[in-house]
Amino acid sequence: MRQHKPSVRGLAMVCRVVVGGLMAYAAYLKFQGIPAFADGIKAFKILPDHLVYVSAFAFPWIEAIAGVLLVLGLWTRGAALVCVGLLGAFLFAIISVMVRGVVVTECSCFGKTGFLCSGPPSWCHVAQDVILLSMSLVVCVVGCGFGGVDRVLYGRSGGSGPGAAGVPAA
Amino acid sequence: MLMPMRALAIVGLGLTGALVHSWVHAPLTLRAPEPDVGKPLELPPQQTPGDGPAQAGDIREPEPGRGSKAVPEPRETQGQNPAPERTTPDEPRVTDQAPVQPPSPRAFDVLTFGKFIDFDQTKYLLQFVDSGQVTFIDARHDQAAYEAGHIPGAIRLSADMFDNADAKVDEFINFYDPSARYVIYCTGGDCDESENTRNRLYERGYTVTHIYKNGWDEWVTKAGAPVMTGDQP
Repeated sequence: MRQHKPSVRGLAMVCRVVVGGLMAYAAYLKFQGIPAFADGIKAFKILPDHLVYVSAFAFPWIEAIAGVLLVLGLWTRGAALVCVGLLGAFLFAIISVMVRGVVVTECSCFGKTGFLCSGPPSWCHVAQDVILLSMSLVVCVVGCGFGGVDRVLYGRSGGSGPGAAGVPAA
Repeated sequence: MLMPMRALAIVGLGLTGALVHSWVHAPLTLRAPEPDVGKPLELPPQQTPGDGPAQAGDIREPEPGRGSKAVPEPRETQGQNPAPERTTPDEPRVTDQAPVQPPSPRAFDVLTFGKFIDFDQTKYLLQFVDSGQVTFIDARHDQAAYEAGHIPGAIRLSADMFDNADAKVDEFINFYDPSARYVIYCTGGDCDESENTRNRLYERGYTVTHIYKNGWDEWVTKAGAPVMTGDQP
């Protein structure tokens, strides 16, 4: 098991808390208006109605669980992988809307607040997603970094690399 | 191997939460069904065409007491919607003063109007706004766009106003008859705002709602289509 430098572990911790916090916050905003989020997904014109219905409830829950786990540093790599999947899906949806020229009044990425970017899907949203995606990948590779429940439960590996419980060390 | 397994477990937990949540949450309406038939419309006396047997959807003489523009009453006691307040010349005004044309020779049977209606059907329905038989709803979420111009008599009611429990929504629900006829429009073309507002209205029992498909973008290009500016209907 490779021991990461303290600076890298510090970076991983920052990425973990930032991405986790934002995912949990985004989920909270979506829970405030599930119908509005469903309208937002529908406006992207990617999914059929029955999948819009499922997604309107599933995305906030998955975001919330992954976000809270990331902030806690529990199952960190698994949660970061989920975030990579979610952010990848959002990125695909945003680029798809921009390429197809579909009229979408709100991105719905962070509810109605818009966070860093507001209004219709734009390159600002793409940049925001790419940054968060990169941070999630850092956490996937490095693990929970400083702090985090994983370090307490599973040691330095963060619970999913070689040397973790049930995984033979190299 | 542990990482993807845990990722799958998180997704599974999320889906379980979503399942329970969707169970306890009020049903979402993603696409309200075709509108109910609704009531036939009665044209005001001065525009009533010649004699003839009345048929479903035909223009008929109003019954005494109908189409009153009196102060709106709560919907429990009224059969029609209140007519929107007209404005004085000092206030927001109709910029195109062309009067609403009488019905075209083409016979419109409103009882056959579907979810989407075109410009001619929309303009036909506009003449029933003053009598309160039809209410226009501007579903655009942008208040500035509404103030810059809207169809005379149209109330701004966007889907996010329903989601944010806006006071105007409560006012609307209290005063407007769910069985009356409504025309909803947004920017036009690809905009979903009309559909979203229609869904919210459907969830609240308003089942005779039509969408002016080509919306505001088409309305402003048509000759003789009146336009109102300002924040009043």
